[in-house]
Amino acid sequence: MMKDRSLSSKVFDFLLFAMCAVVLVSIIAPVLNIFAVSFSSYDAFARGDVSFWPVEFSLDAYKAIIHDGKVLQGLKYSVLYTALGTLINVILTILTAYPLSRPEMPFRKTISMFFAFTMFFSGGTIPTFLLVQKLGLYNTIWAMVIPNAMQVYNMIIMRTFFQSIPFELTEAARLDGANDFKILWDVILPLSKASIATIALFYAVMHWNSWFQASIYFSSSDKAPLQLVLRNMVINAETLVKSGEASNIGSTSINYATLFISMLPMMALYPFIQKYFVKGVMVGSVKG
Amino acid sequence: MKKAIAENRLQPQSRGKAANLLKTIRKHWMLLLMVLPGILWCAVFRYGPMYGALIAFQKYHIGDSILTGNWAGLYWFKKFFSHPQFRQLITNTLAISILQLVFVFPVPIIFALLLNEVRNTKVKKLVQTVSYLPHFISLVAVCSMLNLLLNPSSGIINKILNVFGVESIYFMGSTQWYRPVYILSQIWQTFGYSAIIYISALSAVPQELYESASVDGASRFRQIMTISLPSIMPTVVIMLILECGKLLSVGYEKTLLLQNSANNSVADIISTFAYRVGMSQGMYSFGTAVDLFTAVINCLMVFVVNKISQRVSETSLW
Repeated sequence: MMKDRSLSSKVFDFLLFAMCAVVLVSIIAPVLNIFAVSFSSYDAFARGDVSFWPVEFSLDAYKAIIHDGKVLQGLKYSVLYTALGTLINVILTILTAYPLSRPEMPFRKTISMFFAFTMFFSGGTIPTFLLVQKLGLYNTIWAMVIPNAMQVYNMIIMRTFFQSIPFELTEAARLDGANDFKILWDVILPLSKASIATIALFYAVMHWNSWFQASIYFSSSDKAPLQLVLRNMVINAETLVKSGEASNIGSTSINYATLFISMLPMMALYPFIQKYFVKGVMVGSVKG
Repeated sequence: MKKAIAENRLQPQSRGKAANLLKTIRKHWMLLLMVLPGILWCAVFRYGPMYGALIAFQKYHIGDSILTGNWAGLYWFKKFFSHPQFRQLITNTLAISILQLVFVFPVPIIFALLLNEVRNTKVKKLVQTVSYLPHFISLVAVCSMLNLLLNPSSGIINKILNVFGVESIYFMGSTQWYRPVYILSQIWQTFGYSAIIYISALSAVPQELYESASVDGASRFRQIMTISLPSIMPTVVIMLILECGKLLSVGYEKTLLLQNSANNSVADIISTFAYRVGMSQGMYSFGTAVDLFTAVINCLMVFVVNKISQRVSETSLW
């Protein structure tokens, strides 16, 4: 009986080990392959020698990217949209979430409903596009940041954060004669640094990874963010290459390098920021 | 006469109400001022397009005014329902969402249950952290990876298949492989992040339960089935319901990135069709009508599913 149990326990442990191995390998191997190809010589890649580590180490693909300039320009615009967009997002989100977290706020329920409804129903891509055009935002960098100036879902998470701050703290400040702006600035914000970081990261990742808006709000690719550059280079180009037809190995190497550049910033950052995401997911799950 | 009395009686009260209202507004004007930019933004960029969606009932050309538009009734909706591609679009859309529900949805649950059993905390932490990584890789990057790694001549996957004597497969240009590739990559990108919520629910289960079960001789698999799974069941139900509410709106951007002329007969879904006729072919009214059809159904789904959820699990979105 005892022996039997320990045997089944061993089998179970082996299964767990296998699962962990599958998870690690299936996630790391593809990334490693992209890294390896991008740093290998074109010849080694063409021969099919490259698997998970660079062969005949070479920076040719990266030199070609720097020489071409398109990717660097995309990188520049991605940083701009992410920084500007996140700044606007965070300000608007805090300004909206704070009053809605206050029990004494007039019309609180109505205003909350006004926002919440937009989570369940939207006018759609085309009317939004026509609106952006009508407002003169088309082909400007503002098209990348204004239509998405706030995500209602993130605002609700922020509001939940604010609601968790003890009421006595703000009441004490109010008795000292502080007005609402002063309470927000001096009491609420210093206590909410971690929550604001969480929301800012949600927004930053959203902006960094977004490509669709750029693809419809710009008529040319000169203000395209990195993700759109990547799409134009890899996805549009690769689908042109028919089955069997060998693509230009040099340009394929460059595609691997572009892909690696586009993944690198988030991959380097995420181990440090993931705990904020975990926290945000938790709060979001408590109450929608 | 009676009416006048009634009005007289009403008036002071309603005037008092209005005065009260003014008073609260004056008292809390700062809070109202703070929320104003958000309201204006929401009115313009969220409600504005809802008004703009009226072009679904018109024959709209760019530059037309919506108010004085050329009304067409349900013309575009009828056109969509009788479109030769209609059945195919519905089938493809439902196929992806149902496959997603059956194959993508359970993976984070199983992953969380198994990870919870890993005793070595360092390994556990490492596996969990690595499992989030794909969430931070953009959709474009994931689709680019698929294109590059599955390429029939240079991609590593086909190289590996060749080693085992299997001929190269043109995954991205095949109607047969489109859905498996879509679903597998979806699992790859989302399972770790989706598991967060289950893992934290599991961490709240008291350890004594497992200890006493193991004293009673329950195998670890049995412990999962009798202790772990029931304890995360409420979370599973909520997530499942939310998932059902997205039935018609799955994978818009991903499909746009993955579809091509070779796989389009299985790839094309309602939302990408709307994009194509609306944005690419400039039939704004037609595209909007198709989008509106999906939006209404999705909205209804959320309300219905929420009602069911209220009945079944006493959990509600609002």
